[in-house]
Amino acid sequence: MRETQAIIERVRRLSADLQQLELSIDPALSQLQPGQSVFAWVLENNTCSAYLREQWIPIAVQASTLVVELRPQQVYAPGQVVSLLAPVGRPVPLRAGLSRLLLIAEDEAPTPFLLLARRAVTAGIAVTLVLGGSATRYPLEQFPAEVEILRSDTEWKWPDQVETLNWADQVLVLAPPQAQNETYGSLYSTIGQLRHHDIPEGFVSGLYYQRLACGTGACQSCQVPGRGSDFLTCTHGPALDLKDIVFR
Amino acid sequence: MIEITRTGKNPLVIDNPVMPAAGIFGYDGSAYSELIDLSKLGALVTNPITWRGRRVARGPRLVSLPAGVLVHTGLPNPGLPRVVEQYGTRWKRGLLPVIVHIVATTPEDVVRCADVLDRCDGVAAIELGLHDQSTPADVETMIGAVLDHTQLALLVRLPLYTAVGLARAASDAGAGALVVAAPPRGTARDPLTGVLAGGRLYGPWLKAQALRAVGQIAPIVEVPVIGSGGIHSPDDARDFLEAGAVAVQVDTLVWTQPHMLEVIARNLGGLELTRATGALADEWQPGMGQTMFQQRQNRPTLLDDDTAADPPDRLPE
Repeated sequence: MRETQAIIERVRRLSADLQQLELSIDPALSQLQPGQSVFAWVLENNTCSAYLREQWIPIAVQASTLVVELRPQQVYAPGQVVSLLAPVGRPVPLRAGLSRLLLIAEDEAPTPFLLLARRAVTAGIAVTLVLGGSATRYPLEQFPAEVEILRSDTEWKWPDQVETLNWADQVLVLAPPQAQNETYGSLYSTIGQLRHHDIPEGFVSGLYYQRLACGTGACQSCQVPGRGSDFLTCTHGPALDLKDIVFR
Repeated sequence: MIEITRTGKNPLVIDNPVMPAAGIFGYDGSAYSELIDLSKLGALVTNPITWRGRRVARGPRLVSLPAGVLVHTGLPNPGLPRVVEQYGTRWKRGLLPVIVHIVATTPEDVVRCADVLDRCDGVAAIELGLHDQSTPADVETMIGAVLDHTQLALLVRLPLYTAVGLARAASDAGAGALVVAAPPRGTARDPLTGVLAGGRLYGPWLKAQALRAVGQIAPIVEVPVIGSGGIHSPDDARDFLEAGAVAVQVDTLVWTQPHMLEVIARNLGGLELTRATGALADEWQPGMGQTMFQQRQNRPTLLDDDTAADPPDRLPE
């Protein structure tokens, strides 16, 4: 991890719920992989800024440009200087020989899936995205046209659910922080029933994005109870194999 | 070199009066080794550790506040035996003196912790974190329990709002130094879940209260005081030294601006020294507070007045 500075070059209001910031970054950050994020602190902000750093999730990474997508709770302006601690977290582990990827977002903007879906499509992987709850309001033109989009109902069902879950080589699920335990536990149980409790290692992972205090693993506030040992979402995550998680 | 615990069998001597506070830096500093030059710090204080392992708290753990943050982790840790097993070798090989923070849960568990730490080569001192509801009798019991089972220097971290009342009890019971103080508790509504959450409060605003407590305690105890709470700049840290602290602990600033810990350490460590007015070079040393300076010059200080519990005149009310 290293601390670098970036400059906000462009602010784009995507919808009432989302804004995108384009940042000029240190080229070292161009190595960020899907799943990894940056821990940001605005140095010149005339608005009331948060005390703690904020976790910004990249949706596009180029040589010296990083695009992140945020909720519009804070007002940002071009020219503002941002301190970035990065990388936070590990890349999303993809299974060997992956050819069919199922992404599920429930009540949370599927921002963390964007970079992953773009890279997966480029690599020839078939991607299906299931959106449920408030995630259905997300502007879908962000995703490549090759991504199949399905919508689930309020009871966590979508058309051809059984077929989709059996079709996939790997499943990644995203839920808001306050519902992760319940949502991921419920999905894991459903998949267990469909597959007669034969869930291979790394088959279904939950993305654990929580409010982080340190982002380095020091404070332990983002701990997720695991079987055997516990996990820290900032250093072991954000993608954690649900097979290893204790749902309580 | 600064002696930050009372003179005794194993006093704790450090090179720099700046260190991270408990709960901020992890167990061995490795989380910040790429961001900070650890060799510039005076010591490393571990996350709070209990004898038995604890899991993270359920519900909201962090609530952002207008000028700080509320933190409620539940003090997750794998338990002292596993921590020592995992980090003991690194402590021994590390650059810094390691101060292991143990939570004053029960006298029995504290004794077990002291026993293990006493045999652990890499540990320089123990910091005992007192419960917010501790009474002077509790303090005496806990400190006595630790000192009966270890030769290590013992620092005692006092709760902020009862620090003045507990300081003398801790000093009399044998504490080697007092850490003033643990952050206070508060309650705030978590915007994500909509529920009220309790936890410890951090932020720059805390400095004024912690500084007052240091100013009240330093003159009435005969052990060194380490200031902690709301430090966000070198000037903040210097204020604590002026109020009577011999060293400082930096808390959540490390999370928001990690490099500032090193900046403060470099500032107080000899590169930007300021001397107490009128002091000759050989009368002054880094980390020397005003109280010690006055004692060296045989000037009357508030230490001479046993009943003094009010802040010294130089700290405006």
